[in-house]
Amino acid sequence: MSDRKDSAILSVRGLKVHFDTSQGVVRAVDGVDLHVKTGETMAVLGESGSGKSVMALAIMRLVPIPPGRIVAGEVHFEGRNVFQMGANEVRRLRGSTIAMIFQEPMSSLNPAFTVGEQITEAIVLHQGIKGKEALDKAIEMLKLVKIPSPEKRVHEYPHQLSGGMKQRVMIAMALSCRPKLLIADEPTASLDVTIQAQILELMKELRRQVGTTTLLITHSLGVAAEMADRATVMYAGQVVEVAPIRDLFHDARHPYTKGLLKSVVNMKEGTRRLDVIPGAPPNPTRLPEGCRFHPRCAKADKRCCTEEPNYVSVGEGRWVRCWYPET
Amino acid sequence: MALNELVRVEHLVKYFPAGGGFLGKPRAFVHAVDDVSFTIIRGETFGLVGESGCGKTTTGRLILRLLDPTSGKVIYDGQDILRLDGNAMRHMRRKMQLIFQDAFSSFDPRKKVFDIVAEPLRVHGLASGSQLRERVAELLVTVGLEPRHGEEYPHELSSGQKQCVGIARAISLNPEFIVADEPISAVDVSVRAQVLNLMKDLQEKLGLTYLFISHDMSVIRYLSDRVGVMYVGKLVEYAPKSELFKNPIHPYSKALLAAVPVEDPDQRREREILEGDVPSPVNPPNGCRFHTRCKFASPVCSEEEPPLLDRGGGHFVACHSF
Repeated sequence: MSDRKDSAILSVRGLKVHFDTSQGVVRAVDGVDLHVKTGETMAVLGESGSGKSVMALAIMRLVPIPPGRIVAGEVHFEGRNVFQMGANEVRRLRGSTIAMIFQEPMSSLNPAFTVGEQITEAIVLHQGIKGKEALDKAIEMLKLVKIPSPEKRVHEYPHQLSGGMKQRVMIAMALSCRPKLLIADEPTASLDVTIQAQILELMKELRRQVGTTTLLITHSLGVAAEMADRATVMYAGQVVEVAPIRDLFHDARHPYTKGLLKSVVNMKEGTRRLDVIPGAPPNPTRLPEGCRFHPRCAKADKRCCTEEPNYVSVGEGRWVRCWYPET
Repeated sequence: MALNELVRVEHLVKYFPAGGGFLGKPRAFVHAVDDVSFTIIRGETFGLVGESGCGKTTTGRLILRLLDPTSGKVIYDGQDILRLDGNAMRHMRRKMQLIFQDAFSSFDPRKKVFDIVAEPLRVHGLASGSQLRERVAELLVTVGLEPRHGEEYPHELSSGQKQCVGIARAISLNPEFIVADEPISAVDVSVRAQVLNLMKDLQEKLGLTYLFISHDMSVIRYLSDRVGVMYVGKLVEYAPKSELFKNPIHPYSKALLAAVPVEDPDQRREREILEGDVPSPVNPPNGCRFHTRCKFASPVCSEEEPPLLDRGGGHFVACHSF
């Protein structure tokens, strides 16, 4: 997957992040490659335990060590190796160059400080603006994320806001320093459907206005289809497929992606019985040999059980990690 | 009463006390379910959809009498279950069961799968000894597990297997009616289809009637025969599934359907986004509860509560504007 190095603002290469637990070593991220181009929205699609969130934390150097360990790999942001940065440089990177929003806005906001205090903290820290000016900037950010009467809301505490409003505040905080990359980790998973629609619409609009490159981590095929330009599909700590979003939905090549999409189509068409992927995702302390998906794959043969597949190119900008990609 | 009607809910109301001091009178009430009426037909799947706090879970629990309503009636198979005494209710419970969202947290983690599935049979004194072992093994096989799983602890199972154990326990007493409250939300995405297939198979095989509660439109659409939409304690619309999805009438149902992201990048569209937040059920708006967010709202909407009326073909809607 070397051909997109040049245009990539973020490159993750061969990343392995393991955790030592009482049950054994959890290979949460185990050889992941990811390339995000300037200006695009890249979805990282995967179910819980696929390693998508740990990868995001590793990009920001936020993996707790121990129990975590960066076993191998590199993260390059604008050509610089994040893992070799000094403490000061990393601090600048977080918040100012790369910003992150999380699934649960309630647990990411500090209940003891007002919304304004929390937004201005980043502005003061990274932009050197102070006092009234910083507060005005915070109000401007709240306006940007369409919070009604921002002059009043800026003095309120998180508990006075609804879930959707809190997520708007998180987005305002994340964008307040004009980051080059926004990592959104399941930004709407804890929200109701109509509020999710509001937040997705807001994110799209901000993308048009501000043009932030976005890494969107999600388990929802619908959210990915709605938002992303390209997608990287993860399974059991590895990337199984990379494709432009249309290609992925119309012509998936990895049996796992294909299986996921099949049941979605079945449901839409009201098929009597859904096509299923048999079995369940593997226990992360006991990952299967060979291809991690082989115990659930109808096409698996001897080779899949013993040899780990490598990336194969299956078209323009398309990669799949499978011995027998679907055609 | 229609011949094939299994459950009839009449003017069901449940208020929960909110706030208020120690030993004091509560100052306010959460209007969780507020005058809800509908029927469930034998053998069907009735889907109840709505956002968090709309009262769908409370409705399910009231129907099973796991909660006592503030007022209203639940008629099960012709019997007013709120009038049943302890013994009669216990007997009735064999016919009605619940599948939980998070199966795992409904299990005693120190019990093996065998004992979890066997518990209802033991409680009701329906089987013991080798008969019990056979029945539990049979139940495990029915839900797609193996008898050997009986010897495992719930934490050793995958999310899908846990839910299957929950389903095995729910069908152990041969119930006729099951309330399934978000049964697949805690299941791994790639395993959900298996659980949905299982629920469909069991319905056919055992002649079950489901009340299927979910916030997930695509699952509701797939499983249900009829669908009810709830908003802040009110049933605002209910209709046969195809009718509701093709021709939703209530502005809230429309917005809810439009809000669901479509799993097709070619169908990205500029959607009409519902503004504002869901009002608090402690202080619900007067009149129609949706009027604060409704672009069709007229003065009458903030004054009078719209009645739930049949618009033909069993399509019930509570809205002044249509």
